[in-house]
Amino acid sequence: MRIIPLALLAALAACAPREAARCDVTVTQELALASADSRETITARALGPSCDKAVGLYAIHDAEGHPVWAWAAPLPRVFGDAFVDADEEAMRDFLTRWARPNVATTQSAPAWTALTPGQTTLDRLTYQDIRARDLPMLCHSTGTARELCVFWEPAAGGAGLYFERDVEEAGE
Amino acid sequence: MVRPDSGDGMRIALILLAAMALSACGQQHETAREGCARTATHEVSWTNAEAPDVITTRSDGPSCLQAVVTFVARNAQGDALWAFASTYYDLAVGGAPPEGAPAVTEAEMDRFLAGWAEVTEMRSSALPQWREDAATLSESATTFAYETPFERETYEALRARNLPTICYAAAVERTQCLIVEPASQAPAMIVAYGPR
Repeated sequence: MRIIPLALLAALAACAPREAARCDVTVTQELALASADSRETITARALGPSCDKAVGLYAIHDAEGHPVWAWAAPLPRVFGDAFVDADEEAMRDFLTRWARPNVATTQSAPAWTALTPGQTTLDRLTYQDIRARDLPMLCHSTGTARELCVFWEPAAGGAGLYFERDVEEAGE
Repeated sequence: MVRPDSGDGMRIALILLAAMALSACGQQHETAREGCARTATHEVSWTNAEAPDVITTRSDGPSCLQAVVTFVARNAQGDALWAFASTYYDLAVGGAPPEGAPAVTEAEMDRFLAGWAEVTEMRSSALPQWREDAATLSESATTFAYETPFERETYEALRARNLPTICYAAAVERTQCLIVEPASQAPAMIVAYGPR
């Protein structure tokens, strides 16, 4: 009789997830990008054997759940030493901030003549056309003092890389 | 009529409880496997000839058609060297799925991820020469359109070093090739190429 509670405990222990101390953290955030009443979802994820070895994944899904944008990079490589002693809680704090992008429209993008080589992969005509159409635009951080901006193309129902730029880090 | 005594009742209750606990445990496991969470791995000799790096490709999404796919290269110590992400549809077919696009099975996703992880291994000397008289690398190359973030002198120096290079698909018709830059010891994209 006494063995049954022990067996129950053993069964539950065996059932418990046996994850090693990984750093797999996900934060989601809703926002309106395509239009004022649309509902897109930002997903910021960290994946790695530990937080100082994590890869960051940034994805935007439309209201139907289709991914329209995805970007990834090794977090220590692009954000420097910020994750050396990071634990899961610190990573969640970072992802929560990361999942709050700046939303604007393409008319606020730099003029073509103000771009430096490598800031955009688009040709001049395409870049200027997107800017003139004043499309929804989202900018997310891609590293220390760096961000990229994606534009929302309503005809295609998707997003595309518009340009990258250096930014000033907000004070703590 | 035989009635169970209180000891039997307790025993039955505990057994039922254990069965329920294990059943709930199984449900939790099932929930965790919902969607299209798949992975593939492939070892390559890229940054260290003695200890292979590992390429991991993975998909995540409510369905395989709606999956985000990720490509990650890690060294033998598990340090992330490179990462790239896209949507499955854009990488496998191009663009966004039209309404009514056929579902993607897990087997199809597994084949895709396995193929994606099997990068092309080569040396940087096999990349096209950037002739002195060509304004761009693309102008110098004969088959595909090439882009490189490096100046001509640096590009040619990296090519001459005959560095281990891996190339992976970054879109339906676009490939990116990576080296470890000798000066910084950091992974870097040396070229991206696709049809003209």
